[in-house]
Amino acid sequence: MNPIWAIPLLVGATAGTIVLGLLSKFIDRKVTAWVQWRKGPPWYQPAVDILKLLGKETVVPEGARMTGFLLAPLLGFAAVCVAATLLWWVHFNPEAGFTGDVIVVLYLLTIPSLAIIIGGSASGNPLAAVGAGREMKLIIAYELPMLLAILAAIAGSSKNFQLGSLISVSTTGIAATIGCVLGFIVVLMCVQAKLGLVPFDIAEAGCEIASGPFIEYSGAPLAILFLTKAMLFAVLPIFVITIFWGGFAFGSIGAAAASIGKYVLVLVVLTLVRNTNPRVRIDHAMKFFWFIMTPLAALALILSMC
Amino acid sequence: MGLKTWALKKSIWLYHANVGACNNCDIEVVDCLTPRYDVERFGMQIAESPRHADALVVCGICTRQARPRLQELYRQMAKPCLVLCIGSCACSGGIFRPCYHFAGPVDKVIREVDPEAIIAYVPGCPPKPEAIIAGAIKSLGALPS
Amino acid sequence: MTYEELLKQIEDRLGPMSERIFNRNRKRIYVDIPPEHSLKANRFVFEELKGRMTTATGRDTPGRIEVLYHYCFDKLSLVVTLRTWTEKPDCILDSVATIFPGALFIEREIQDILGVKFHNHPDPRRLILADDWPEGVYPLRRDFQTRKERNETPEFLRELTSEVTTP
Repeated sequence: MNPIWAIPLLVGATAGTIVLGLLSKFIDRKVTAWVQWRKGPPWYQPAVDILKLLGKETVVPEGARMTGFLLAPLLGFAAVCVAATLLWWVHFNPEAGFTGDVIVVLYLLTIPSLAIIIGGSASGNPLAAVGAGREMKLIIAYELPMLLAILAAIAGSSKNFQLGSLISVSTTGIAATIGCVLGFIVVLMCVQAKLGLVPFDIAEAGCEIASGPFIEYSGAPLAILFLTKAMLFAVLPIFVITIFWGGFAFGSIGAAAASIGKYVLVLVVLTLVRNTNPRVRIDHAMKFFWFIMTPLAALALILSMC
Repeated sequence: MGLKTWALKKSIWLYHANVGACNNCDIEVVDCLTPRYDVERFGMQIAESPRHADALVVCGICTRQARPRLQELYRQMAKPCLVLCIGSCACSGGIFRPCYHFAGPVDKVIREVDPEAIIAYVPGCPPKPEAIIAGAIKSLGALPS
Repeated sequence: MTYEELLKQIEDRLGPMSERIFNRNRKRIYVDIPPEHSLKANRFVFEELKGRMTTATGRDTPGRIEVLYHYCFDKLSLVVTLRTWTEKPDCILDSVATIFPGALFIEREIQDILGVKFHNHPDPRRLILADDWPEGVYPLRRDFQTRKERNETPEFLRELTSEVTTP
């Protein structure tokens, strides 16, 4: 592929993911409202939230490190853009990936959480430091089961570390199928933690530590942070479906409907889990991920390798 | 009306501060989020940090201890922002006006920091959630376009 | 113990220390205790009669400030009130918080608002007045003048904005 196409590809994928991400946020808020017997916000609400934030002034506190404080949101945003580009490109052109691009996407997707930690630590606020510490502990907790579960999916289907070869490839045998299903459940829980949704929104706990690492952000940096979260809301389900559920295909009407249905189903599951659970403490979350999810993921890996 | 003001009107985030109230007004403010009155359909939600907020919802007379803290809260908010005084205590002091701890009604305290603050008054003891929503929506018209 | 036994215990043990025992009705008994016996009387009611102190009230009367400790006996539907007093301007009383920590906060409040000093209080910090409230000014005493009483009535009613309270 001609490298000159890289920039338009990046811009196109970013724009597509922003639109998809804001729509996914709307689906999340609407389903939350229905579950609580209310009417939710209109469809353009997440977009208007970001627009409004772009119009407010940016306040930088005196005790904050300006460079880290202002650059951290951009870091997260850039990482999500590149990850989104990889995922979209691989769907349009399955041979275009390279060996190991699954791992590259995984690495890129940890960067937004690191950006939150950097931003929170640079804020000069003790509550932000508490939030950043909690985010660190959460990352240590959920990365391991996520890796094991993804390995389970790869071992059970194509045995090849390339995203393109995971799309629309079926699993090899019954044990591998059970392994992949178990892995899917584990990864959904890890995605819940990565997105910062209840029950694992400990890092940005609202009433408790006044939104943790985000406490000192306002205006445009906050808009970029929320935009990054909205894009993650789109990118992570796409990533998960690519690895575990055969990706997206828009060849025929039936395939297109199935793809959209898969995506909406994952979003609805995330939202329903969010609405029916309380927030857990950080030590409970770590115990959950290390002592329940990791053995489950290891079991999934063993089943897929049979 | 520019895009900035339109976006601000469609998505107001509220930060709730109690500066010496009996809690009745706080309960009514939280009631607005419940399914019966549902302010989320107007785009309003509770902001956790004053820096994220567009409207400071104040309940209570401003007590002597809370006065410098309320002024600091207002200063920390990212402008442009609104102030909503909920209840007769916040509007004028209510029945607690001659009391020993009264330190000025909320609008006087905030105008010390910012003489051009946009302040909306919602009287009542406590005001009904319908009145709070009406006051919030009316105050959107006073935003500079 | 029954109601009659309780009454007898109060008359026998508190009678000699008290100035008067007023049995107002079936549910209320008032016992007036001089300040030097107040700690002993409170200890008796709390530890031996097993009364539960619900609250304490302060009264500003001419010449003295009275502090009333209310003890509930839930099973008997009875409230026994021990009334002590202290002469102005010194106003020192023994702190009941040395017997049980439940009286800590209410004594701090009475200290702030009425100016009664509690001797041996484990934690005599300011509780409800603002940090910059001047010392020696007690808002709930009868001689504390609100702005209304300082003859500011016409402006007070007419003006739409107010001044900060100056004690």
